[in-house]
Amino acid sequence: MSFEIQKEKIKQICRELLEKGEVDVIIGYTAGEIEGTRIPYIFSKPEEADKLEWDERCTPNLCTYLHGRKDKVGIVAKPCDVRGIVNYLVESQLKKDKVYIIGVDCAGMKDDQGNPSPGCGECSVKQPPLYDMRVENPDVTNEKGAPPEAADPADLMEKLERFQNELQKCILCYSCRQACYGCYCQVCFMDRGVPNWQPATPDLGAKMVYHLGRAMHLSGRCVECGACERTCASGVNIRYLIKEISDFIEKTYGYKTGLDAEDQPVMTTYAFDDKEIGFLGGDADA
Amino acid sequence: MNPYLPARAEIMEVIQETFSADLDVKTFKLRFADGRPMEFLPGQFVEFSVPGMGECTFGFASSPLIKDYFELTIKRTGKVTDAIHALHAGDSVWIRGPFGNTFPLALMENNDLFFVAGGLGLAPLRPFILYALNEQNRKKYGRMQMLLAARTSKDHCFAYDYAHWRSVADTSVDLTIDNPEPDWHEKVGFPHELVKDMQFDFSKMYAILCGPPVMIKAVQASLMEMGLPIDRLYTTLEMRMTCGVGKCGKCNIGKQYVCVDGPVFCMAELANMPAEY
Amino acid sequence: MRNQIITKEFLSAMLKSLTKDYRVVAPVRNGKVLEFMGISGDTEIVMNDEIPYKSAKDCFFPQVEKLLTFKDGEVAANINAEKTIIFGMKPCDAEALRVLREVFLAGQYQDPFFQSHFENTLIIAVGCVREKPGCFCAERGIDKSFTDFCDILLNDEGGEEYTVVYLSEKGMDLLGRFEETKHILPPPERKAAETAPEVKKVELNQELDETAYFDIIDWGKATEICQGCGICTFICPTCHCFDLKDVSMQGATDRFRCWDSCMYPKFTLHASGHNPRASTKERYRQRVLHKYLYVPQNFGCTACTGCGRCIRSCPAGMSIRKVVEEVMEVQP
Repeated sequence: MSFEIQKEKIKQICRELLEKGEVDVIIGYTAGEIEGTRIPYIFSKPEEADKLEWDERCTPNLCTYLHGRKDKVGIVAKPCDVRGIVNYLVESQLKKDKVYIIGVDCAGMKDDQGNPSPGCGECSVKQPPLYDMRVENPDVTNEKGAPPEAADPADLMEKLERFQNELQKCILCYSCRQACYGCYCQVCFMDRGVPNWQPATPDLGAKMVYHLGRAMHLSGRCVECGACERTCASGVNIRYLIKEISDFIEKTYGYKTGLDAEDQPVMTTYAFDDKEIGFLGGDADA
Repeated sequence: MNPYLPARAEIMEVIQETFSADLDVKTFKLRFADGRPMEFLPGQFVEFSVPGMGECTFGFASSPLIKDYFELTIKRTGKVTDAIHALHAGDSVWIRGPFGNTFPLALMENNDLFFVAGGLGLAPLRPFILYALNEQNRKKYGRMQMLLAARTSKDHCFAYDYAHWRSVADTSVDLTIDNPEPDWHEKVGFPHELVKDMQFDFSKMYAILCGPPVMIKAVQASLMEMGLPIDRLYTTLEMRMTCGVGKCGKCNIGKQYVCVDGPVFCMAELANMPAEY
Repeated sequence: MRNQIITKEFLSAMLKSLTKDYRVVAPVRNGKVLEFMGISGDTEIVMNDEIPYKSAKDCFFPQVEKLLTFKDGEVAANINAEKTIIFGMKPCDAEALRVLREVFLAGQYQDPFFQSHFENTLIIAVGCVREKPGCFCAERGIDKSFTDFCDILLNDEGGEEYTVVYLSEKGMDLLGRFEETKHILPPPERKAAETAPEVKKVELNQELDETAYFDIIDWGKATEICQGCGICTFICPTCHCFDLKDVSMQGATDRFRCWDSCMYPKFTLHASGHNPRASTKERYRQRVLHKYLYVPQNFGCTACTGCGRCIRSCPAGMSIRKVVEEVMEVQP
């Protein structure tokens, strides 16, 4: 029910923003060709706001469409999309005056079977951490959801085995990278000729190089939007590996990505008392 | 016949062509290890492998009348060409080809030929030039003019050929560089400007252009403005290629595959193709 | 008609018994997805109306295939396709193979690797019962329950049975090996159903010059939400672009053929740094026009069979059908 009320509010806000000329375009959601799906919708005329949708199928992370845009954009943003925008601000990929955030409280997204969308089950940020206009849902609180179905095993060899079993399914199509808001490198390390990280055969080694490399590059930058896993046509649980790293960063540096636009990027900030246990090993508490 | 299967070739000689610090071009003289002849026509190309480093596409640079060896002129620009430049006489490489179409040699007979080359662009034109300059063939063509541009005096490829080319009757070679240099007594300036001072008989002439895309476009514009019809202009295209046999999809422009429908195109054909090159 | 029927149980046992002499590929559940995989005696073959998320082109044009081996100054080609039976290709997949055959085997050069897979494979196709979300085979002129580009064709009779016909000598020979199927007949003069007149075909006007399509719609706007991920090309049954890559180990070098994608920036990147198709707009336009214009112009068949995989898989919900329809609305 709340989705319906929120949807009408979103439409009204977007229409007004365009009418008043406060933004050049709006990025939101509309109905996809396949029944029930919601896809990114970029429009610039007030009347086009009628086609906006907002419900539990609005899974795509829209903040990825902000990267590289020159115009002023109004964006319908779930809390995870907002966290992406905040991290763009933190990483100087976006200027705040170029974006108008319509932050929408999110009760969690579902897949076509009605199950929680990847990341939504255990989500703890359900209210937008930054917004120009907030579309509330009184039923939504920032309480942490259920823990992930299978916690990562403590034993190192078991960890490796789980990781490898998951990666067997990968076909190295790089869709997860393309869908990721944070993978904005002009030339990905996997696409470089020199040094050549990408072997000819998509064997387990190549898959590990790619997924470990990508996870390292996303440390302290993942906003847990689940886009990588939703995109994956092979059904690889990509997110859990990066989740491990995000948990490590949170535990070690007390940093959670995309909550505060005044933050410094955690992994590129130098501190004398940093024990760098991510590289050197040891314990955060020691 | 497996079009992906290369044959082993041996490097007979490596010739350093350019002498600038930032441009490194070498010509590799090759022959097949099993002694088979290389039969090709001007404009065609080969796929050149250094196993482990990969395969690259290069146009022939030597005379098609010579069958027992062939030459490829290669600029050092990336991973494979770095590896190729590290090779010496006596080393083995792998070659498959020839592939691609050719300059319309018969169509151009009884006409004047005007070759405009920028830098390494002379390499794919050289087989045609050497073919037409051959004693048996020279009388088939009218006046031959060449305008050969390079950035500096150190960057003219095949400089050792020019004296011979100039000695042939009714044949001229104009050399030009971008900026004046001491001791340079040839022309200075860009080809599209220089052609404006040259004399042509557009009723019986073909112009063959090869070089950087910006040079080709500018020279084409100048010549057409002076009165040369578009169907009398030819060029040879460069595209990223993998297979060379029209399968891999890389060099596809419109319905054409540069590797089998080209690389030689008439400008009139190109005008009807998407400009995705 | 009764004697043209086999049970799913028998078919499953038959396919498993054939694993002795063939590599048998069939739809198998793999984690969250249904996939064409090699089976063994204890594999559960999925025989419902679902369509595997990747096409079966991998069996003819593998994602990675070793073409050549360089060793001790010699080079050898590895053309040794296993004898294979594929069960479960839908008519859209079988018709897509017709396109691949044209690309790889027609023209001046034949691809011996594809040819070897093609000649050594027997196709048991299965007609679709109903269209899946995103499917548009009817609009592409394909009959969802019939194709003659296969050796044996099955149609689900809505329960535990399939009707069976063979369409080639290979198919007849295989059925002749089993007591239960040796009486099976070819189809009685059956042809693919004509597309119903009310279904508007999705196709481009082949008479037009390709340059006419370059600015026919606002390609930038049409591809604004495309993320350039290329999953559409990986799961497509007709996409066939590839790259060659070398791997050296212990003194030998293997040359592999790997799927490539026109949606990747590196696909057309020159060594000089120049890229003729520099942005998603140009790359997506190339994908659409290559399928709907260039392949038809060169080979007389459109390189899209309406299987809908790209529409279902796209993370941004792009639809090639919608884009082509948008072009059709304005094409002369």
